[in-house]
Amino acid sequence: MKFTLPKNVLIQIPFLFTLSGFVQLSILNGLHWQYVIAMTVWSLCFIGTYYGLRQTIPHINPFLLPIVSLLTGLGFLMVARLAPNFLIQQVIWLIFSIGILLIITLAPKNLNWLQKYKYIYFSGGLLLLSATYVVGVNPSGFGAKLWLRIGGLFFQPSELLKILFVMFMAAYFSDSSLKMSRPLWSIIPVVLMWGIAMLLLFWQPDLGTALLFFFTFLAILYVATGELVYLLAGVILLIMAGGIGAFTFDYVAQRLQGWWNPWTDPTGKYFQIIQSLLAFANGGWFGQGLGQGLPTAVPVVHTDFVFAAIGEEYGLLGTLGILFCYWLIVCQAFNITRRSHDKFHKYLAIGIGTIFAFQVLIITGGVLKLLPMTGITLPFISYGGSSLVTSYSMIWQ
Amino acid sequence: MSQAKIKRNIILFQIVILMSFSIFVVRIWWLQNMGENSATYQILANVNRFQDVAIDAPRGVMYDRNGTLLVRNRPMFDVVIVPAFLPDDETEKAQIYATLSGWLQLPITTAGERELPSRNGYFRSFMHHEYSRQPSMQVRNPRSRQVKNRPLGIKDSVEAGPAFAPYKPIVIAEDVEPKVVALIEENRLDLPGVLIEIGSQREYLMGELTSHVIGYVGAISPELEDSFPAPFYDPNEDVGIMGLEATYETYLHGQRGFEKIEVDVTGRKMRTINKEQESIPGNNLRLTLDLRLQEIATEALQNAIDVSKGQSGVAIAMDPRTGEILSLVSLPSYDNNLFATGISEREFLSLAENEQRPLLNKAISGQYPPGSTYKHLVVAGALEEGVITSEKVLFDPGVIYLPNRFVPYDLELAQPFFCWDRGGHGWVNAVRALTVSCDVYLYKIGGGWEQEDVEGLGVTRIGNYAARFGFGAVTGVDILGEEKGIVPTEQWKRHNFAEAWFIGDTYNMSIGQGFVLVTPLQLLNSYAAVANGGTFYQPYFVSEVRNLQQEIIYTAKPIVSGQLGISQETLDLVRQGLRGVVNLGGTAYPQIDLAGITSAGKTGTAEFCDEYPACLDEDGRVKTSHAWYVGYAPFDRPEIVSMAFVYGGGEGSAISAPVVNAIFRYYFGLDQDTAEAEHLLTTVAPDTLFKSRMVGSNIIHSPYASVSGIVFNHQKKGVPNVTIQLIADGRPFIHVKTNSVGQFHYETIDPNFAQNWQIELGNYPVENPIRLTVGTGIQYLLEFEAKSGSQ
Repeated sequence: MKFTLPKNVLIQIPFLFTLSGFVQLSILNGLHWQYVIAMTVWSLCFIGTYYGLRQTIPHINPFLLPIVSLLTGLGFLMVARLAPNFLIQQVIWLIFSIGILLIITLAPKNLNWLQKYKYIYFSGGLLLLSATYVVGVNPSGFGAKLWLRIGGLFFQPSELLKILFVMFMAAYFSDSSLKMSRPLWSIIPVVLMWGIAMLLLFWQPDLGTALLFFFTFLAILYVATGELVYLLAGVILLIMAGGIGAFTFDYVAQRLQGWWNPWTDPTGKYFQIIQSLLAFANGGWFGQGLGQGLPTAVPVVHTDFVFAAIGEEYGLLGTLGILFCYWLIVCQAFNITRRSHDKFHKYLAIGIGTIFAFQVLIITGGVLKLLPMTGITLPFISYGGSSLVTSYSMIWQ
Repeated sequence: MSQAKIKRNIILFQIVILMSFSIFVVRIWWLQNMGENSATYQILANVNRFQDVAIDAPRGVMYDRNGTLLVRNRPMFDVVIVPAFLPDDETEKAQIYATLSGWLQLPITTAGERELPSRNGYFRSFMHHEYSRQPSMQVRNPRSRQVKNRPLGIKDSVEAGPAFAPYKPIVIAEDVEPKVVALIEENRLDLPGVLIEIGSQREYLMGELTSHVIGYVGAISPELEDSFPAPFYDPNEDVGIMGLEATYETYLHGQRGFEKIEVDVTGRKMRTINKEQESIPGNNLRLTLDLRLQEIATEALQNAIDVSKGQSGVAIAMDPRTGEILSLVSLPSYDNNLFATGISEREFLSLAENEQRPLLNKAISGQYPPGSTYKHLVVAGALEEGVITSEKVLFDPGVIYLPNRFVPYDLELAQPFFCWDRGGHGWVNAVRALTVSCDVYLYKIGGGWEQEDVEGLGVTRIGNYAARFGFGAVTGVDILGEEKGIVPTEQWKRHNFAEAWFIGDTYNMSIGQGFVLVTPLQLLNSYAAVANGGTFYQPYFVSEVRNLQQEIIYTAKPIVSGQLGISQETLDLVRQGLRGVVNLGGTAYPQIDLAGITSAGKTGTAEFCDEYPACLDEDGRVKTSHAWYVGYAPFDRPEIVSMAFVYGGGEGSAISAPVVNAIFRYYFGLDQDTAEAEHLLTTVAPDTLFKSRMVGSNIIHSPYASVSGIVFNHQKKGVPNVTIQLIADGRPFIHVKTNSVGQFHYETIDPNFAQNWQIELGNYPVENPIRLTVGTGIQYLLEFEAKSGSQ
C-alpha cells in the first residue's frame, strides 16, 4: 500500500489538530501558560524528532511517528481539559520519553545482550515491582500503592516490567537451544517467571497489568509454539482464576459485579463505570466538542477513563479514529514481525504489538463495560508518566 | 516451527484484534444510538447524574409592631475539603493545610499534641477555645469555651474521612467569618479541593430580650418526626421548638421546592435542569410586641429584681381591648441563639439546672401565690352573692382570731389571722378594702365572720369566682407551655393533702395565699377583663402574617374567650377600689405616677416559703414574699393593662409597682422630656464626618437587592431624618430618610438597572461611601457612624 501524500502533511495533521484543540480550550477557559508550554514542547519534540529521524534513518516508517504524535497531542488536550494541574508533569514525561526514544533509535542495534542477560534484567524488574510492597506509594493518597517515588516524580514499576517481560519472552523463545521437541518441559522456566510476575501483580493489586501479562504471554506462547492447547488451557485458567478470585477477594468480586450489573450501586462503588457509559451515551456521532461535555463527572477520568472523555467530547468518530490509530500501530508491529528474519526481533515485535493491542483492548473494553474493569492506561493518551515512557520505548524499531 | 505457520498465526492474530476493535466501535455506537437502550440508560442515569433535590425555602422572619426586624436568616459558610481534589503532592497538600490553619485558627494536626490535664478544666478550655469553630469535635457555639473532645486538626479530619469515598466533602470548619470565606474564594486556584458550602442560620437579633416570646428552632427530635412528615420537611431541617417559632411553624415554614440538577462526582450541583416546583419562602410575622417597651420593661424589671435582691420576675403589658401583648418579659432570660446554633450539653445543663430556671417562661409557666392581687375576685364574688353590700362596713382591728374548732372558747388556742397592717384599718367597706388591701375584711367576707353576721363566700364560691376570673384555666395565649394554676377546692385538698378543708384555708384563699397558685398572665388577663368591662380576650403576639408578596394572609382578630358575668354595679365598685389604690391612701399611691393620666391597680405581697424555717422571722411569721402589681390605664377607657412580679421581691407596692409605672410612662409618652433629651443627643452637627461599613448581608427571596442600615451618632444612637442617597452607576437614583431610630431601608434595587451602586449620606460627608456590586436577592446591611473627634 502506497500513499502519495506529500510527506510533511503527515506531521502537519497532528500539529494542526493539537494546535486547534489548545486554541479551543483557550477560548473556553482563557489562555493559560501551561497550554502554551505544552503546545510548544509538543511541537519541538515531534517536529524535531520527525525531521531528525528522517535525516538519520531515511527508510523509517512515515506513519508511525505522526500517529504517535497525534495520540500524544490528544492526550495533552485531554489532560489539559480534565486535569490541568497535571499538564506540566505530562510535558516533562514527554521530554523524557522522547529522549529515551531517540537514544533507543539511534543506539547500535546489537541486541544480543538482551538475549544473554534475560533472567537478570527480568529479575531486576521483578525486584523493582516487589519494592512497591515495601516503599510503594499512591500519588493520590488512597488506593493501591503501585508507585515508586523518585524525587518529585512517581514511577510505576509494572510499566517497566511490561517491556522487560516482552523482551524476556522474545529472548527466551528465540534461544536456539530451546528444545521444541519436548514442548511442555521447555516452557517451564518461562512459565515460572511469568507466574511470579503474575502473583506479584495480583497481590498488589494491579489486576489490569496482570491481565495484560496474561494475554501477552498466551499470545507469544501461541505464536512461538503454535500449540492451540496452551491457548485453550490459558482461557480455562483465566476463567478459573476469575471464579476463585471472585469468591476469595472482595475487589475481584466487586470488579466482576461492576461489569455484570453495575446498577446495583450506581452512586457508590460503580459510580465510575456508569458515569463512563453515560459519557459515551452523551457523545453521539460527533461528540459534544472539546471542553464542552461533562466528562469530569467520571471520577479519575484523566487516567484510566480518558477514553470515556474522548467518547463524550469527540463522539463516535473520534473514538473510531483513535482505535484506527492503534490498529495502525499494531499492524506496524506485526509488519516488522513478518519482514524480520531474526527470531528475537520477530518475537519482540510480536510481543510489543500484542501488549499494545491488549492494553488498548482491556482498557477500552473495561470502559465500555464489555470486559470487567481493570485499571490500565490507554497508551500515549492517558495521563501517566511511566506509561508514556514505556509506550515510547516500545515503538522504536 | 515454520515461518509460514508463524505468519499464519500472526495474520490470525491481527484479525482477532481487528474484530475486537470493530466490536468496540459497534459497542460505542450502540451505547450512543440504540433507541431502547439509551432510553433505559437515560432513566437509570437520572438516578445518578441527575438528582432531584429540594430547594430550601427560607423560613419567615418576624418584626415587632413598629417593623423592627427581630429574627433573620443569616447566611452561614462552612469550609469543606474534597479529599480527591487535593493535590497529590504532599508538600502542596501540607501548604494548603497550613494556609487553612492560619485562616481558620485550627491546628493542622493534633496527633503529636500532649494530652491536656483534664483535671484543670479552666486550663483545658483556655487552651482550646480557639478550636471551637471546628464541628462535632467541639461544641458548635463559638461563644462557649468548653470543648467536649480533643479537637481534630485539619489533616486529621481529612484523613479520618472514609477513604473509599474521596469525593465526599468533609466539613473542616463551620460558620466561618465572611472574611475567611472571601480569602478562600479569592485563592481558590491555589486551594484545589477546598470549597465553601453555604447554609442558613437562624439568628435572633434581640437574643435574651425576646427569647421567651420568640422561642427557638431546633432539630426534629425522634418523637416529633411524625409531626413533620417527610415530603414537606427534611429530616435535617430545623423546626420551631418553642415560642412563636413553634406556634406559627406552619406559617413560618416555607414550602420546599424541588429541582432536577446535574451533579458532578462530588455531588456538587453543576447546573439546574429544570425546576419542578418553586420554593415558597415562609411567611413573615408581625408581632404585637413593642420592642422599645420590651426593653423598658426588661430594664425596669431587672432593676426591681436587683433592688429587692429578688430572684426572678415577670412583666407583661397588654391591650385590654384586644388581647394584644405589647411586651412580655420573664427574667432571667436566656439567649435563644444558643439553641439555634446548637447548644452544648454543658451549656444546656447550666441553663436547665439553674435555680432561677431561665428556660422557663414564668409569665405563662410560672405558678405563684397571687397574694392580694386575688382580692378583686373575692370582693366581686361577695358583692355579687350578696355576702355583703357595698355600704356594709366591717371592722379591722389588725388581727382576728379563728377559734379552735374543738375548744372554741379558749382564746389561747385560737389561730390568729393578721392584717398586713398590724395596726388595722378600722372600719372598712368593699371599695376601701381593695384600696388599702385590708386582709381582715377579706378574711371575713371569704371565710365568714359570725360576730358581724357575715356568712362568708366559702371555698366553693370563691373557686367559682376564681374560675369566672379566668383562674384554673389557660388563657389560650399563642405560645406553648401555659400552666393552669391552682384553684383549690375541698376535694382538691383531700386528694392532695388527705385533710379536710378548714375555715383557715378559706381565710388564706381569700387573700390569695394558701393553696392558690396563678400564672402571671392569668392574673393580667383577669384585670384586663375588669378593665374592659368584663370580656376575656385570648392574649396573642402575632397581629398579622404576610407572604413574600407582602399580601396579608392572616390578620389576628381579637378572640373573645369568655365573659366575667358580673353586674355592672359590682364591676364599678371593684374598679373604684382599684382606682383608690393609686390615689392618696392607696397601697400604690406614690409609686404610680402618671402625670394626670388616671389609672387603677392592685398591689400584692404574697408570702411564700421555699426553705422552712429560714423564711420565718422571730415572731414565726413568714418574712419572704413575692412582689406583685397589676394595673391598667387610663381608668375610664383603659388602653393598657400591665403587671409585674418579682419572685421574693418583698413589697408589691415598692418593688413591682414602679415596673408597671415605667411601662405606663413609656406607653403614654410621659418620658417625653427624657425622650426629647435623647432626641437632642441623636442629632449631629452639620458637616459631621461619617464613616461607613458593611455589617453583613442576608439572603432574601426577592428579584431585587435591598439595603438596610442605621445611622449612628457619636454615642451610637440612631439619628433620625438623615437623607440616604443611592447612586446608580454614578447617577443619583433615589434618596430615603432614616426613621425615628435612625434606620433606613430601600428594598427595590434592580441589579439589571445598574450593577454598581454607591450609598452616601445626603447632608453629611462620608469618609468612605459604600460601593456595592449588587446581586439579586441579597440584602446589604450597612452602618454609618459619626466619626469620633468631629463633633
